[in-house]
Amino acid sequence: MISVNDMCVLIAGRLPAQPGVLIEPDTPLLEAGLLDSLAVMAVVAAITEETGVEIPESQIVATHFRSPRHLWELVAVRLDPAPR
Amino acid sequence: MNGGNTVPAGDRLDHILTTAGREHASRPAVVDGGRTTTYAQLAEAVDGTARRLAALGIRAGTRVGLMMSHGADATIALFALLRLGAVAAPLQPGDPPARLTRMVTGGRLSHVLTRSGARLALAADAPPATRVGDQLDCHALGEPGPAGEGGIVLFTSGSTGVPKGVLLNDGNVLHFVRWVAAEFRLGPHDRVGAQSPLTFDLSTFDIFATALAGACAVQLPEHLRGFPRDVVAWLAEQRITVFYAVPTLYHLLLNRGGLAERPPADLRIAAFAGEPFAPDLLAHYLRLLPGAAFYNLYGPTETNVCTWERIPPQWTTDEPITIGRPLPGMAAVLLDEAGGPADEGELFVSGPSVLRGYLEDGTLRDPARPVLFPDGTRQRAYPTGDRARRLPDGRLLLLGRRDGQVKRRGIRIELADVEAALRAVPGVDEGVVVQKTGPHAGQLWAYVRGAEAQVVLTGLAGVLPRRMLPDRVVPLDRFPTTPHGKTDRRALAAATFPGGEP
Repeated sequence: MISVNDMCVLIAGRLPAQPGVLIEPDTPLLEAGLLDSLAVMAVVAAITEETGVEIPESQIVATHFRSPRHLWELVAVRLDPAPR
Repeated sequence: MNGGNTVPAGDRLDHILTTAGREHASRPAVVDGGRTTTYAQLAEAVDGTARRLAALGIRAGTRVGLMMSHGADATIALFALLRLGAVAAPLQPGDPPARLTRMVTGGRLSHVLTRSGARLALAADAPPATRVGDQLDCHALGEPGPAGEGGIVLFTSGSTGVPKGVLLNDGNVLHFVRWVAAEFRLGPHDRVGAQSPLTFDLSTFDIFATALAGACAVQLPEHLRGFPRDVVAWLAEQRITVFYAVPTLYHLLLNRGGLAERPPADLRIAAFAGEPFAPDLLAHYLRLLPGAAFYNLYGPTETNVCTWERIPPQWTTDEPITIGRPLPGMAAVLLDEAGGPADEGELFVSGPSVLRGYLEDGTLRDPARPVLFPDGTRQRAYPTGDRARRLPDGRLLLLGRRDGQVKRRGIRIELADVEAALRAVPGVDEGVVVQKTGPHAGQLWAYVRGAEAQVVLTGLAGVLPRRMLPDRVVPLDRFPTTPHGKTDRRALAAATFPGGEP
């Protein structure tokens, strides 16, 4: 199971070099211009590699990438489809 | 002028806006997020910004960096600089400070404009900024140089490891802008999907051709750039009628954005430039959008668009995608190895859109040279480095490069530029960058001796823009060599195993 903090670490490792930027669960990745198109692809690939979850093409939309927490929610649901 | 564009534009780019501010005053000029700016408002904002910049000492010939991607504020700042006759040099926010510094010093930029409150990330400590109106900050780095000619500087990858500053004057840009507005029959009711960063020459269309026609530049929100599905939705929802982008983006919209399920119904012009369009995808587009005209516009930054072809609606993948014929006023000649005119050879381009020169250490170097054309005239022509063949019907077909310049995702990269950075990484004894053939075709791979992949990648990320970073770094103990003892680049490009072993 991936935690929201794991997601922050995963994303931070795929961003363009931005010295001094701290990635927290609610960091606005898009508003802050942190996530470019290459980083999106890298993050999607890393999620599959580390969690086995394949994010379908139709879900790779800006609204799911607003913050690490938004992305984590998308992945967590797929890891554990049963209601909690 | 023809095609219904009767706007007399003079010979300056900023006059386009003066005219549009008068003739299309209440029409929308720019839509940026939720904000619509009319031509009257745009013209007024440009006047105000130009006055404030003049008060800060910016005048004709002053070289000013413009660190904003695209959008309403960037458009205002660009027109204001052109109004003053300054030299506007767009810079990409987010590029590494070391790279930006080379552009600023190589171009001898005396000022840089940023969004208000933005940090100016240069290698040296930046001086405090002066606020310019509500949206802009002006960072003064030094004294303006002597008064001189204005225009736009576009930085591209350079083979010596230093970015090349291509200086285009107003007339260079206007030649393309006037032709394209007429050829596309751009009018006040068009909604142009503006997505090109100012640092790329495609932006001259989004900004100037749109304004010349009194059309509306609908700005792609920056945060959607990485999401093809959102871009497809944006094209449809914003009722975009004209779109100009690199084939990489068109490919993504079809392959990953679901464009086939939601084709942009209002699109009537789809233009592309910068790299070859994948033939099967182009055929798919023609089937999906029978009402849209597809245009291949060709030209290096140094000439802007210099040849063009409208893809015939009945085109099939059995036919080549050519770069067509020169624009009116432009001329193209192919020179063989001996320098004589031929039906196959390096493409040389002459005409009004050929650059003024490269800005190097503050001075202008002209890469163009006198060339004897088949009609007996000697013209100042730019050697594109592209090899081409002239088809029997006169159209030109690109064959490849005669040097180490490659295109990846539509962006021009000198392999030697990346290699210079690679060899400067501590520990690297030898480094070669190739564009892969085979299963990873198009990717840039760096082969290195003496350092680990992660160390190299981290080192490169500190000095090169993201768009220039290798897709993969492969450590090697020894490099394959040709029978003459040179590094065998072709073998590395084709190597399927990371080690280059058979």
